[in-house]
Amino acid sequence: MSADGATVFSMATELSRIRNYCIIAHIDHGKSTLADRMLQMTHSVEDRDFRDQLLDSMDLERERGITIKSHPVTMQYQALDGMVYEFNLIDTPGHVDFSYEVSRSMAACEGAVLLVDASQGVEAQTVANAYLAAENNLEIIPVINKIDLPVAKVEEVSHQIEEVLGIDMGQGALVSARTGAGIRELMERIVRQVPPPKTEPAPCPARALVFDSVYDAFRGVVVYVRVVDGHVRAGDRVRMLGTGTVAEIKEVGFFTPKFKPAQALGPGQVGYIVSTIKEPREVRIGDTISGASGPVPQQLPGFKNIHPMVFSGIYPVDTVDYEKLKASLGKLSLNDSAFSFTPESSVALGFGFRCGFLGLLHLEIIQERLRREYDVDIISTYPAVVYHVALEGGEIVNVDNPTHLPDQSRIEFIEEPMIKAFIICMNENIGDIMRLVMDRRGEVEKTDTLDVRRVMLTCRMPLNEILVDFNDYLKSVSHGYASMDYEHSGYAQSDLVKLDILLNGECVDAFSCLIHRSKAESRGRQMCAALKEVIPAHMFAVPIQAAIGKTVIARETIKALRKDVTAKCYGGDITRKRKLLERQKEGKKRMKQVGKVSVPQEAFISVLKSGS
Amino acid sequence: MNSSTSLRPGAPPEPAGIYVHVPFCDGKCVYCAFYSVMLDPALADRWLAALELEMRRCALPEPVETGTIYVGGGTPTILGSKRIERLCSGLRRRFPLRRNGEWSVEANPGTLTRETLETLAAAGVNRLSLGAQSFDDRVLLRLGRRHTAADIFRAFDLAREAGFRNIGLDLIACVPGVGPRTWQRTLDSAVALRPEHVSVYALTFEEGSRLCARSPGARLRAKPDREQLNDLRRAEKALSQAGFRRYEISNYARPGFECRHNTACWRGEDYLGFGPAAASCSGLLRWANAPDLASYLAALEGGGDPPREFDELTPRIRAAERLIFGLRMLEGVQLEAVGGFERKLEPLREQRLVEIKDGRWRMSRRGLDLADAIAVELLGD
Repeated sequence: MSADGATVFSMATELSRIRNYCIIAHIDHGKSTLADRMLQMTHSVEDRDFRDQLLDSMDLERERGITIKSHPVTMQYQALDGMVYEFNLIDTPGHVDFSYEVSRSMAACEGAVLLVDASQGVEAQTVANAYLAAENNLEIIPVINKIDLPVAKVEEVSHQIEEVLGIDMGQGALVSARTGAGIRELMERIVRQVPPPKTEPAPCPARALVFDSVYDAFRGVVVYVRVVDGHVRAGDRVRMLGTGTVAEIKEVGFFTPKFKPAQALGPGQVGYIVSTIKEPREVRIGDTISGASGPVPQQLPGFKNIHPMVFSGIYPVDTVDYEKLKASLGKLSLNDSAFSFTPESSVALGFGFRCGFLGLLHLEIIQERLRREYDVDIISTYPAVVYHVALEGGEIVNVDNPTHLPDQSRIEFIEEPMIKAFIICMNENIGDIMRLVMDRRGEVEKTDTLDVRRVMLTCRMPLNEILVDFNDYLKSVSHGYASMDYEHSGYAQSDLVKLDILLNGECVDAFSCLIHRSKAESRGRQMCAALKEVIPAHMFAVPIQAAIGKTVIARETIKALRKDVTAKCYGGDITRKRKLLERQKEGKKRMKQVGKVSVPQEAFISVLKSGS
Repeated sequence: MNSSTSLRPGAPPEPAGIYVHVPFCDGKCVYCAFYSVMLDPALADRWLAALELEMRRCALPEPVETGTIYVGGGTPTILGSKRIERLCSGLRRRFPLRRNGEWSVEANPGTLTRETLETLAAAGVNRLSLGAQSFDDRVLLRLGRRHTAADIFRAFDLAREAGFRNIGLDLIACVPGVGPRTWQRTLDSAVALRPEHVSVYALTFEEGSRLCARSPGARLRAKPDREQLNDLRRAEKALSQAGFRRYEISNYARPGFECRHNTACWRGEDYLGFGPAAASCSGLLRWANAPDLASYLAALEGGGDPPREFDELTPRIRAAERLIFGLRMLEGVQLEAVGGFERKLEPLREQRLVEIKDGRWRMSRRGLDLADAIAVELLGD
């Protein structure tokens, strides 16, 4: 990397002709289709290479219609003013779990296309992402998509965008990404409305923002950057200002959307860097890349070490899979710097890992990928958030595993993470949804009317309360129509207790959870009842107890097995009978032993699902 | 001795008990999962010839004495007296019974004739196991039996007249829909006949039986455990009051009339089985003939061994087996015979499922009701 002198490289586009933007939208509002259409219009992809939804490359992303990784692409757009513009579209993760990544991707842009489905209107995710874009000072171009649908309600949706989001539709476009209608108009708006990148006047030290990275077994860590000042070239020695890592650049290039090597990346440009860095942990999203020698420039704003918000223990169903699980988690973390895992052990589940996630979706994705891509059978424990536990004497400890909660007598108070949730629902469901929110210890702070049929509730709730099945309940009370998104919203003190489950008098650590005192009893009863259903009868009665400290608050008993005997057993039966018994023994071995009690795998799953 | 050895190395030093499986019936009872086909005279004759070939292929010296013979099935008594005579003389030639040896034959009340009984007695058969099952005609019908209570009385009297001094009755307990009074009447009737031996088997839903094959709607549901235990307790009470001693989970006998053949099997002694589906045990080696008459006939008529499945036990599994099946008997297992299993037995003793008495491990009363669950604990490393 070099300070910019008089030489201007021919491949570096003039700043005035660069437009960096992202598209933000709710799931299924047509983000990928719009991106495809832009690629086609700019001839960025040969028609023979074209397949729908080009930018979502993971199977899971395609299936769920969500974007997990950034998929940048550089396009050359021939505008009506006769000039060719370099468009850098940075397709960002759409979910709030990845809001830090989203915000870093946004920091690489000057504009955002806010896409709303003309038949669906503004949804919760639209709201959350529009707020994020506004916080990042992006020029927002509102776009109403699917205007060709017979059920399109363009005027109504325009009104929502103006009223709910406060964005002037006079600056917007009406398109159909499917038919291509309105796309050119949108492209022209991007040229006119998205400001060109700004840069320090030369000469100045080079700076580039890291907005994502992927791990490649052959090339090491491929870093996605937006150059802010100066140039980066192969051969430059660079330093990561946040982590201090020094490396040599081996290759730079653009996304077309495939990697296309180039001589250099200039100010305002978006591209990738392959360097001598092999270790994903050495690259942090939001970090600044600068020259390794010369004056150290100011770090670009916004870099922070992100901390997981949701934790869960992940254990192999079969203990022999421990190493396989460990290797799989290691591979997953290569491409996901936000995912963390450390070894832990549980009395009930044996050896496994405490895993940290950005949120629920992140957790689900990792679990799903472990099962699907890595073929490991796993049991995961009840998800937990990070509690701030204030001890006598003012010490505060972070607790992400209920089993590690300090002794109750030493605890002054506990704080739990809160969220601000945006729930959009039909008018007729508002009562049910408010009840659901209150049942989850939330309060509705604000109610906005979106249109004649829909309202948006802004609520403050404990994160803990939406971890397991909130979304299922939301969908069920609203017949699938309600949508929800959230942002983190600090911590609040709360009357939390540790609920333990005892089997035959022994505490099963994997079942312990922190829960609000008001809910402990009903939750305890549900867990005991659920366990009674799945734990087989033993030769002795098995008491199942839910307890807070030493106080038992719920109890069930699995009655002792009374009769288990083969009536007829003559000589010819002995081998067959022994084999039958051996099969039973094998089945029993697959269960987890808690003291003298055999607990089947399903118990761990069914208890997690036995929510309120 | 035949050079084509059917018996692998480790042939029993002691003559083993002999079992013959007669694979013919005149119908199928609903609970039965044993191998049998409808009686066909031509097939029965070929089976007899093949059986003789199979016995001759056995690696033991010919003849060799045995302590017990058990002819089961199927329904041995439907073979008719001619074939029974041939079967018995073949057995006698090959495996002559020792002095005071036990020779049992299973019999069905519906097909037992005076002639058959006299043939059996003349051949040296000295124990009859009569498949009574119930003394209630409606219950017999429901079980798919093809005889009545009157047939049992008749067959029993005929057997006594033919000279049988050791007769066992089989009864089926825990039949759904049979209340305590009906069950008590069956027990009383059985006791009134004054047999030497009574087996009381709780109805089992065996895979492969018609009970299990019934369409879900028509399926009988097993009685709840509590009711089953009540039925079995009632049987134990009635039989012990009548002078029978329970010596195995499902078996009761007047002192000295315990079935020696079965007792030897439960103690883990060797036995040799002949006929389709028959199983054998010799040291660590087990084998069972395929349950298929056609391939059995074809193989033996072609000069070979019938298709068999072999299974070689490790000494540890063999020891576990002896323990598991030994504990099913009330006499239990000698302390010194359970080396290596104390670690597993002790926790069971703490739960009062097994106990040590007179230098032997035994199941407690409650343990006898939970023998399978205990066996699962004892198996494995």
